[in-house]
Amino acid sequence: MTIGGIDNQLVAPAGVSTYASILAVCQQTWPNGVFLDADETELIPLRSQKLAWHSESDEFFVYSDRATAEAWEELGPCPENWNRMLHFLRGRGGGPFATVTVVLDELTPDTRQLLEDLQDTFREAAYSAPALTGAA
Amino acid sequence: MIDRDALKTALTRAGRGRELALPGADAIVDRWRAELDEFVSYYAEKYKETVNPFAWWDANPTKARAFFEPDTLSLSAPMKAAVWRILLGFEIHRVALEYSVVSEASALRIELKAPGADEVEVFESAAADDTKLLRHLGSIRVNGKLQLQGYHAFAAPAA
Repeated sequence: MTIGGIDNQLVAPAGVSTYASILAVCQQTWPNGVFLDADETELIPLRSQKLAWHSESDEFFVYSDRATAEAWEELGPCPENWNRMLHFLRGRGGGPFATVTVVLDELTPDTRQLLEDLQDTFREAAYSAPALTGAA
Repeated sequence: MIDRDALKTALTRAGRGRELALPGADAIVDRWRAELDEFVSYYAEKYKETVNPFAWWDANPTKARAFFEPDTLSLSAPMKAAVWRILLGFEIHRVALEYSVVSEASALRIELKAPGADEVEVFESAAADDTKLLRHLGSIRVNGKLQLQGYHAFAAPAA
């Protein structure tokens, strides 16, 4: 797996489960998107119930669709799959905040909106009173 | 019948162990056991699938905590099924609630859709306790717009 691109760091209040929120936002953005755990080789559709039973990964990739994911394996980053893969790294630093690093190829209006949606989702999850933990 | 000790262990893991020492807790646990059995039967009949709520602990403890919330355990079988579907990733398509403190009547209707599917699954209840489901719905932002999505546990009380 070739990893490059631009790192974007998001911040979530500790106790907010960022994992399910990330997948939910990505699924709405890329309805045919697929998930790949950094330690596994199986591509799992974001819409699959199988993914609901997957343990929460701290490092994973989301591709816009299966064909793009397979092309990434073969070709790495290229014009055809530019900005069609997101690499997520979830930090567990302790303290009041957790970090989520999102690696992508280029900041565009679409990717900026996605980052904004994720950050807003994390922030609003912390507004819930009493605090909510975890997410489906 | 759901095993009493297994349920107590699940409640403890969900951060609700302290409540098990309260007076009357055993009776409540036994009621939840019976209602979990009802849910499993309801789900099997409706979806032809036998579910095991305890399996969430191995797969995804975050979802396990949400399912073993006292609020969830107190839901009717159809509303537990709705929670189960949300935990599986079903999208919350529509929510309608009618509630009156005067009449003590309520009407809750939840419509869910599997991602990418057209078919809408409808869950309805007139039980006031079922309105507690709404306290656990999460939300996300997509293109700046709010979408109800997901079902969450409350933060566990401090030990």
